[in-house]
Parts: sequence; C-alpha cells; structure tokens
Amino acid sequence: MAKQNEAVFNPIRINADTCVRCDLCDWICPGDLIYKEADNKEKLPVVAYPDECWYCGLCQSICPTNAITVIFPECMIHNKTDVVTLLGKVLE
Amino acid sequence: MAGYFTMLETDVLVVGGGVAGSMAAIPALEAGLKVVICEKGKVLDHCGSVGCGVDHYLTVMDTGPEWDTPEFLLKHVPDLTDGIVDMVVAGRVIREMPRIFRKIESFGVDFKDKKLGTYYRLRSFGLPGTYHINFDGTDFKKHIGERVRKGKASVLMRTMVVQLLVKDNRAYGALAFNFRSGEWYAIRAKAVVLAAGDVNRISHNASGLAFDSWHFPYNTGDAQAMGYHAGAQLANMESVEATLTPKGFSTQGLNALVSLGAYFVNKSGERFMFRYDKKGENARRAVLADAVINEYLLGNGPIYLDCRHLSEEMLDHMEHTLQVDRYTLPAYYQQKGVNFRTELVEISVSELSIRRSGVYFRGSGLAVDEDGETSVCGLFAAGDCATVSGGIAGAAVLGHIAGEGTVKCVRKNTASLPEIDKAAIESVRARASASLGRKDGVAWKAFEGETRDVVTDYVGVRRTAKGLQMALDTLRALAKKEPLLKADDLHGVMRVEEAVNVRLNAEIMATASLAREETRTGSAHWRLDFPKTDDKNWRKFVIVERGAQGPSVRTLSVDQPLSAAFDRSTSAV
Repeated sequence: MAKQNEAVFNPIRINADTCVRCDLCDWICPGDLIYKEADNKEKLPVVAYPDECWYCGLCQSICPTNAITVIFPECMIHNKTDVVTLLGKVLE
Repeated sequence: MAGYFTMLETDVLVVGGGVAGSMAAIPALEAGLKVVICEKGKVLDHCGSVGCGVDHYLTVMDTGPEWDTPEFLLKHVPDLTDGIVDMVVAGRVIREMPRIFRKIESFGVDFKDKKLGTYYRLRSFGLPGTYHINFDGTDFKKHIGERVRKGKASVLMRTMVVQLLVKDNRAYGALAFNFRSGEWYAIRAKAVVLAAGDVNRISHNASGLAFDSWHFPYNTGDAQAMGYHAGAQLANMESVEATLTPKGFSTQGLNALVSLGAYFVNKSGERFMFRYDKKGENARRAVLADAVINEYLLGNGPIYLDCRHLSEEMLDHMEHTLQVDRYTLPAYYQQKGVNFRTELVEISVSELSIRRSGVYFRGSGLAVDEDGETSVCGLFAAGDCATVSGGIAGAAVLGHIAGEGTVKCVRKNTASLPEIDKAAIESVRARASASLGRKDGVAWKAFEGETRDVVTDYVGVRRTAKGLQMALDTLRALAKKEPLLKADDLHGVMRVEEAVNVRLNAEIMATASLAREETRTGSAHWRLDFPKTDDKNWRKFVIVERGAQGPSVRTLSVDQPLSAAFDRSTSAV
C-alpha cells in the first residue's frame, strides 16, 4: 500500500474528522495519486504522490462530506518567476 | 510484474477514454463491434485534456446564414492556419460538424443558455463567425461516457498502453498494463484508435512544478511515441503551443474571460493587443500568446488581465464560468487574495505543449487521412494527437470519423490477424520489471527534468539552428540513460514510460523545428535565424517518421493531403 510522502508539499488536505473513509477520491483522481485501502473503515485515504497533483480538485468536488480542501503552495500563490527566463536562451 | 498476462480479443481497441476516444468508440459500438478502451486516468466522465467539463464548443450549425455553413468556415481555414493545413481532412471535419453536434445533443447535452433559452454563440480565437457556443458543459462528457457504457464497451481503467503490435505496416493490437494491479494485457484488435491526447510536461512554467500545466499533465505524447515506433508518420511537430495563465497557476479558463470581454494590459496600463492584431483580444490563441511573449521581451511586463470595465452581470457570468473549466480556480483566486472583478490579475505564459499551436484545424501529431487512419493500416488517430485538431469539438468530430473508419476497416479486412508477438510481450515486460527492481538507477523525475530544461532553453519560443542542434545532441545523450531508469512501484513504472515518451516527443519536435527554416505562426515556430515567413519555399508540411538513425524528415507540399505521403503498399491486407 502506498505511503504518504511527508517531505513533499501536499496540496490535498483530508479532514480526518469528517472523512467517511469511502474511496471516491481514490476512484476519481486522474493522476493516480490518492490510494484508499479497500474495506478498511479505519484508514484515511493516502496522498501517495502529492507532487504529481494537477490541482484539478476533482477529489474535492466528489467528496460526499466536503472533507477535502485543495491548498496551493506558495510558489503558485505568490509567484516571483521572471517570465523572460521561460522564453528560452538565444544561441546564435 | 513477471506473472500472468491476459489475452484479449476485440474488434476495436481505443487508447484513451477522453472525448476523441469515447466518440470513436460510439459508432463502433453502434455497428455492433466489440470495443475495448484502455484509459490511463479514469476520465470516462471527464474530458481527457482538461479533466473537468467544458465551457465552450466550436461548431458550425448550418442554421441558414452563410457564415454558419461549413463551406464558409472552410474558406477561412488556410488563413486560420497560416497556410499549413491538410484541407482534405479539415474539410471532412468541418462538414461533419453539424451532424456530430446534433448527435451529441441527442445524448442529452444541453448546449443552450438557460437564461436565453437558446444558444449563446460567441466570436473568439480569430474565427470568422460566432462559432463558439458558451454553455455550462459540466456534464458534457458524462453524457458521452454514458453512451460508451450503454454500448457495453469494456473499459480498462488505470491501464497504460505501452506498445502497439504491428506487422507489415498493419496494426493488430497493443500491449498494456494496469498500474494498480500489475496485470498485463495482450490485446488483439482488428483496428486501433490512438486518442491519448497532447504532449505536456515538456517545458518549464512560472511555478516550476512539472504537473502544474495548462492541459492534462498525464497526457505525455504516448500515442505519438507509440505511433512513431510503429512506423506512423507525424506532421506539424515543430509547432509549439503556449497559452496565457494567471501567473503561478497554469490553468485554463483565462481565455474564456477574454472571449467575454476582458482586456490584456501591460505595465504601463496600455491595452496592447491591437498592436499585434486588428481583432485585439479576439485574435487567435497563437497571436495572444505571441503578443504577450513579445511584450515581456520588450520589457513591458508584467502583463495583466483587466476585467474592471465589465458590467456586474457579465462579471457574475464570468465568476460562474470560471470553475467549469477548472474547479479549483475560484479557490485559487481566493487563496491568492485577488478579486478579478475589481483588481488586475498578473498573467504569465504557460509551459509549452505539442498540440495544435494555438490555431484551429492544424494539429501537431499523427498524420491522418479523411477517415482518421494513419499511415499504418488499421491504426487511427483523433483528438490532440492527430494532425487535424480543434479543441473539444475537433476531438469529438474527428473521433467520430475515426470510429466510423474503424467500422469500415473491420468489415473490409476479414483476413485473420497475426498471432501475438510473444517476443514483444516478453521484452516489454522485462523492461518494466527491470526498472522496478533497479536500486541505483536514474530517477524518472530527474530524467524528465533534463528534457524540460533543454526544451525550455533551446526548443521553445526562440529557436536557432545552433540551439536546436545542441538540444538534439542533449536529448539523444539523454536517451542513453533510458535503460537505467528506475521505478519505486507500479505507479512509477507508468511514469517511467511517460518520461521516455516525453523525451522522444521533444526529440521529434527539435528535429522538425530544425528542418523548417522559416518562422511561422509567431512564437509557435520562431526561428531567430530565419525570422520571416517564407511562403515561396515553406508552404510545406514537415513530416517526421522513424528512420534507421532516429527521427527522419521529409516535406510535402500543402497542396496535397498528408495521406499523399502514406505508403501502404507494404501492408499485408
């Protein structure tokens, strides 16, 4: 069973108090990031590959108890990248 | 993974359950054929390119006025594509638009605006009429997916197709694996449809997060790579696409606001888009992205989206539309603390992708004929991986055409299929097992990151022969690391396959870019060493196919359809 990677920013926050341990978030995730152990009403779903999240929010949208919130990391919220650095290096 | 594998027999195998793949499955199912769909995500109820619903759909409806006829739109296609387009295939797609639109309506999709009680049709992306229906398409794909389910297609979810089975230039199936269970499938099919979408994760964007991409990051050019290995021809692969996004979040949704009346302004507050195109913000996507790239290079950045002049009613409509394309966009603005109704929103150029270079009806991918069939017999392609592409509608229409093509193909070819190539099975499975067992190999994330570095710097929006050659050398050197790639688990095996496909697509793109010695469609193919559009010498397609030493290039005049370059004489059937 996949394990949560604690060292990586996890955008998919699951509220343990309201999560009903169904597997809809696992079922819908298009990136295969969320793993919920079947037939185990104790265990929370695990966000196994948090850095592969597309921020689509399908997990949040399908959650029957609104237990999921998608949180954006600092680099997406307050982005400081100079756009010109994305436009290629000129080799003549 | 060395255990069993399952043998499946079907009439039609569809790779990808997005709009194109599902629409291809439908006519095959209606004709009573057996259909297997392999789907890497679980997107049967959602669009494969955008993951959610849709908020606009491009179609001619043939309601009476001349502009609403296929022939009128078709007349404008050479201009819309800067002359590089397969008019035979584009012609079939456009002429089929009204029929397929009505067919989708019959599935239960409601294209009408609830308040107006009729279609809310808008002019956008430089098109010569109000062809875009703006609608609440949250359930658009659910209805199409429902049709596929009702037709009793076998859908293998979380299953990645990794290799096509081809003999004597005829496709007869594919090898696939389920990355949850580790189960392998050897699928024998009379026709195969590739509908696995565009190529993403191929360059960097503002956030620097590989999976923060405008279109689906799980679309990694698998169809293009597998088609290439199978001997299929690809075209227009030099054309790259970027869009404009809120800075920090590479999401779709911004262009919808622009088509509803938002402006772009530069750091001086100038509404600059009219300097680039007389249609201003209604110009083609390629022109919009190109203009913003130029403004940044001129030092006129930051660039902002400006909605402040719009009526409360329009702003309400926009606010509602935001989350149709990307559910999390309102939450993003909220967490960012920006109110687009009253404040400027800073924008960026997204990462690059290989799709359709910001224009309609010219796709970058597998060359197809007017039945959606590639240069390999029995191998079809549709959607963002094919050479005629047009967003959701393009995927729906060409997908349906390809599906009808498979019906003809299956009925015509009654000869028995070759036995499944056991050596291919063993080789593919051994490769996967080896990556899974490797302890000190190369991580796919690092490998893929190297592809992104080189594409961003030298194959992106400012190209030179020297830079492209250096990119090719680097990408070829990177290929040598492929046998060393490691995966931590089954999910990782899928990502390894994707990373390999992304690299190959980058190499094909660099090869085609080096060949086209001109600039066309602005920064979609901007050669600093050939800065002018050269219609005298380059009204040609650049076709790439597998050669003895890697990708090889040839050209074909655009006066002919791409299928004129197909050589099916070696086909067994």
